[in-house]
Amino acid sequence: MDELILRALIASLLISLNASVAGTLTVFRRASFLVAGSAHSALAGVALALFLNSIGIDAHYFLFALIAALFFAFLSAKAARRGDVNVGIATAFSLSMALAAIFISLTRNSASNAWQFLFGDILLLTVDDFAIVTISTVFVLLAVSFFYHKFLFISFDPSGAEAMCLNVYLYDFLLIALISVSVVTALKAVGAILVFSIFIAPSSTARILGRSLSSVFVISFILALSSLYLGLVTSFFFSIPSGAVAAAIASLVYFAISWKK
Amino acid sequence: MKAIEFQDVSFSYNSEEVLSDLNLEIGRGEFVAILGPNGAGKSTMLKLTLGLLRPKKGTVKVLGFNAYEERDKFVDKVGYLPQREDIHLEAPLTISQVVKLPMLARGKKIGEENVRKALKIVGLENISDKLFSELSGGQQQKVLLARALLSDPEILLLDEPFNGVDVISQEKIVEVLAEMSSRGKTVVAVVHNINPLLHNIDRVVLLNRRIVAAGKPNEVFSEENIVKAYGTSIPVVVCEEGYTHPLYGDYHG
Repeated sequence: MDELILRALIASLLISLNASVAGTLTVFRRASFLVAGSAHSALAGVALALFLNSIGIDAHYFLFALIAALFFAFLSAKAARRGDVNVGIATAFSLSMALAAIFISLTRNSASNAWQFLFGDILLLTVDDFAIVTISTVFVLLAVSFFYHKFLFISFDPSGAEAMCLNVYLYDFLLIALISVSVVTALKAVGAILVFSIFIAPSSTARILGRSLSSVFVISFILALSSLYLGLVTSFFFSIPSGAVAAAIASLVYFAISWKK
Repeated sequence: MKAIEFQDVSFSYNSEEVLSDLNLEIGRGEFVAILGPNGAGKSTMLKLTLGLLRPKKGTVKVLGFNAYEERDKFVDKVGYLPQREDIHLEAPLTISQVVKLPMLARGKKIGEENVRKALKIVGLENISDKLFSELSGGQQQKVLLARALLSDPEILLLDEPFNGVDVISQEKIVEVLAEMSSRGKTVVAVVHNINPLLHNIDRVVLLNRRIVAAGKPNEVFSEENIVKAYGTSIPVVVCEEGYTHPLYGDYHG
């Protein structure tokens, strides 16, 4: 099998794990918009890295995207503390897009590079990109399994968690930060604009169908993986961007299930 | 040693004083209801007791510990039932998972037998695998009560335990609280409607940013105290057992 296709198949599996875990926790946390905010903040970091590269300064997109997304996570967690998490996310979202637009406009020959981060292409992942996806996924899964019950408790009953001496602010920040890492991991493969569909649509569909915590995670994983694989197959036969097809499938499944229910 | 002590406590959110000069002692094994209109500072009083807020003036002590500075020393001895409106139902948790979650989140193991015992107290031991989100308001509140009882706490704090709760569940909750009190546990319940509890409590605290009156219900529910607390007169009736019942109060807002 072609190495690029094999890499894309394995990367899809890893991204689906990210989407299932981070997406489901985001849905439980009632902050679905967080994924979009995080992805767009990461885009501002990517745009800065592209700009620096264009003027001869070496800057890795992942590091800059991660820092931007974590800074966004910090702002969102602070906003959540005051009870207006959506205002915080939306404001950071538009600030990030503004910065991304400025940096991209300053970058020479920026269009093709920026395009990949906006809409992604899982077939163009390099060995480096693949290594980043693998390491980040292992990190996110380990961290979430370690803090799983804390994340669940602060999502279910923040007042009760606070009363039990849990540092709700700290764990909320950790949760948002891990979701951000997960989103950044998928950025180059799926794209900042489409990542929302791959992370939130399958988890939201699974939330409607699932009758237990584990079933929500499993259904979400299967839906994300099926969407990504169908995207790859479609892309292979019809030369259509795989990320766009995957995002369209995941979103349509969500609408179909939520309409039926 | 008292279970809970408020010593000259004042608290304000930003510049607005919510509680002023509170002095109150709640003894071990006492069953106390805190009653007052919307915005009286009832929930703030509970948060001060839990050590979640730092008083602007004075000291709150729980089991002899400074509530704000030493909360880790008494947290295991306090059971807390939050307002049900603060619970988010997105995660499909079973009743058993809801009861176990606080312990698991704190890295503590909890046996199924203890969970079953706690659920048995509230009469829900046979449906522990049912989804919490599919229960009625009354059943949900009983699950949260079972959760608060799991660690066999010395003190039980309840924030509006009867909101959205059917009469049968109200009776069950009152029965459990009275049983706790008879076993020497301290029970403090913040309520808008005191009538479900009135025959079982030792004292009522009538609050409106400061303590208007505290004592036996028949002493507290005078025309003068009610007007001081609510700003208007509320009709009261004396039941066959001789308890004075205010007919209504503010709705939970």
